[in-house]
Amino acid sequence: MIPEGMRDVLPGEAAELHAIEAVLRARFAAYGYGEVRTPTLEFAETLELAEDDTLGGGYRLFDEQGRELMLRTDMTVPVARLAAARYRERPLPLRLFYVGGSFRPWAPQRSQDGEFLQAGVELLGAASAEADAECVSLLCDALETSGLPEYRVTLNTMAFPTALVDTLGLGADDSEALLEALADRDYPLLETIMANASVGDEATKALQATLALGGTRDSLAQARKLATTPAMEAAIERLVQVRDLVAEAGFEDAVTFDFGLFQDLGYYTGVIFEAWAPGVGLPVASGGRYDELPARFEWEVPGVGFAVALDRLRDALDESDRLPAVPPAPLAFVGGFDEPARVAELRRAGVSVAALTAGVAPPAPSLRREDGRYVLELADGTRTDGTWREVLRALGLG
Amino acid sequence: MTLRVGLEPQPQLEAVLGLLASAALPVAALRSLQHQPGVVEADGVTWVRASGADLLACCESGVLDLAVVGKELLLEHEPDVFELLDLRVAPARLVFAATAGAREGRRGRLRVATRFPRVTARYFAAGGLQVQPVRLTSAATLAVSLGLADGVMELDTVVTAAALPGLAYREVVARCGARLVAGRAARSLRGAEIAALLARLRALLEHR
Repeated sequence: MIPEGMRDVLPGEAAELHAIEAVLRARFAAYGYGEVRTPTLEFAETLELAEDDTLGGGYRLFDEQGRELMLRTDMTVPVARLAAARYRERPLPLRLFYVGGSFRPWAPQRSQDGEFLQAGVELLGAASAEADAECVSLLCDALETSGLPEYRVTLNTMAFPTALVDTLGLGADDSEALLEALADRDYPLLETIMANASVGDEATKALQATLALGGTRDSLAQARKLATTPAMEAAIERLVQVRDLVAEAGFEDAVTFDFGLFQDLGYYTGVIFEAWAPGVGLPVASGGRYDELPARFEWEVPGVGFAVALDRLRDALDESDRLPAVPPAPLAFVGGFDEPARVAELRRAGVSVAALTAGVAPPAPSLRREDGRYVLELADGTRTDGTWREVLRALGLG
Repeated sequence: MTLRVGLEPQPQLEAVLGLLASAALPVAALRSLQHQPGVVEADGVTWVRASGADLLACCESGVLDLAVVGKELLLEHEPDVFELLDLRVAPARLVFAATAGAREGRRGRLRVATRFPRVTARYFAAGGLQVQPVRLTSAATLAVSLGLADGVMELDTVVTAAALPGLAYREVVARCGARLVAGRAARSLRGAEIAALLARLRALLEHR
């Protein structure tokens, strides 16, 4: 028995996850990011600094001094803590990446696993659209390099909802109701609220059309019709800049916009994005700008980053038959325990060998001794019956 | 890949199909399913007929792109989907209905038979009243006649004087009707197709 929401991973799948991780690490490194590792356990008060119910709601325990600890609930908060403690005096921007598991109470109704594996980056100390675009481009690059044939990265900005309320000139109650309907993705209700609040026909139609175009590139142009206030203009302009920069980096086709996109975590402040792939019901990656989080650790620098959900990326690759090639099964050497020198010779030559006692009959690829000769059976069905030298030749070791 | 659309076998299905057909969706294939749950593919659309709750689960897990379901199910299950459009088909009101004296006469918690226990608990809790939802899947009105419950939370199309003898009053809890919903994955991956369909449906509704 293991706790609900946890799972074991067996060698085949572990090898696939490992190969996917290796691709992501290589892409992160190619953009100048350095790997950090943070402890699985943090002080509860550290994670509570995020002031978010999800991030502060992890598995808690006490150390021998009675201090309250928590299993990390995400990686962004620990990396912000680490950076604030260790990189304060270094030149900015700072580029860090991580691969690791985080833990949250199992909630199947929200598809929340108890433990989940993420690979992600944090770009700290850069507030520009160029920094947003670098993260979006790096995400596209990483997903493409992993072999994912079809995916979309959908963008929005946390500034949109507040700018919208301002643009429509709504009172406090109507604003609250409208923001709630937007977050609940209940567009018929949104329209009712606007009709009751006597929002002008033009603005109503513009918002309707903007939301109806969610998940397309046109929604950005449509949203421009709403940009009658400086705040809305700035919000839209920022997305336009990011889009143009990502296009220049060669990932234009992957990017769409959805002004109905919301992020659950409370620390996001600017551009937010999610990556989706066919056959997976949840985003394979998500991220965004979190300019106020490092300040919780008394280090006032802006930040932007994303995390790839490794299990979901693996599922997406599986769905499109693009799982990475994993190492072939080891050669089962029947009687290998009795011939350590031969086993060592093969391993030195780069052959993976699982030594066995004599008398067993494993599936191919296998090697066994019969009447002073060796019988090699390979996975493709070829069979060699001969001397040790002939076996080496059949294995391509000449 | 084909667009994957789910419909529930509701009484007003013909009206929904009529609207979808006017919006250029090839609905003929779906009729071949008769009234059974199932999947049928034709002319670029994969149709799925299943219960509304199942369709919502399919939208959430990314195996369905779109579904038409009753608003009452969205209220009950609060699924993580985009509620795009009120199709203005099959309008109904979710009501709390009881026989004369049921609400005043009972000591202790009011028992409410319903297919929507979460909506029921939320609705009465908002009014400061604790009730005991009695979860029934089809015979909610019968539960009142049998004395299993004091009242019923159901669609007004179901709670009629004929179905509930002695029916004394009804409180309207929510306005319901057929809604077009999209899964979150579909929203990002099939945005353009969904936007085109939405535009056609909206134009049709505006000309009605």
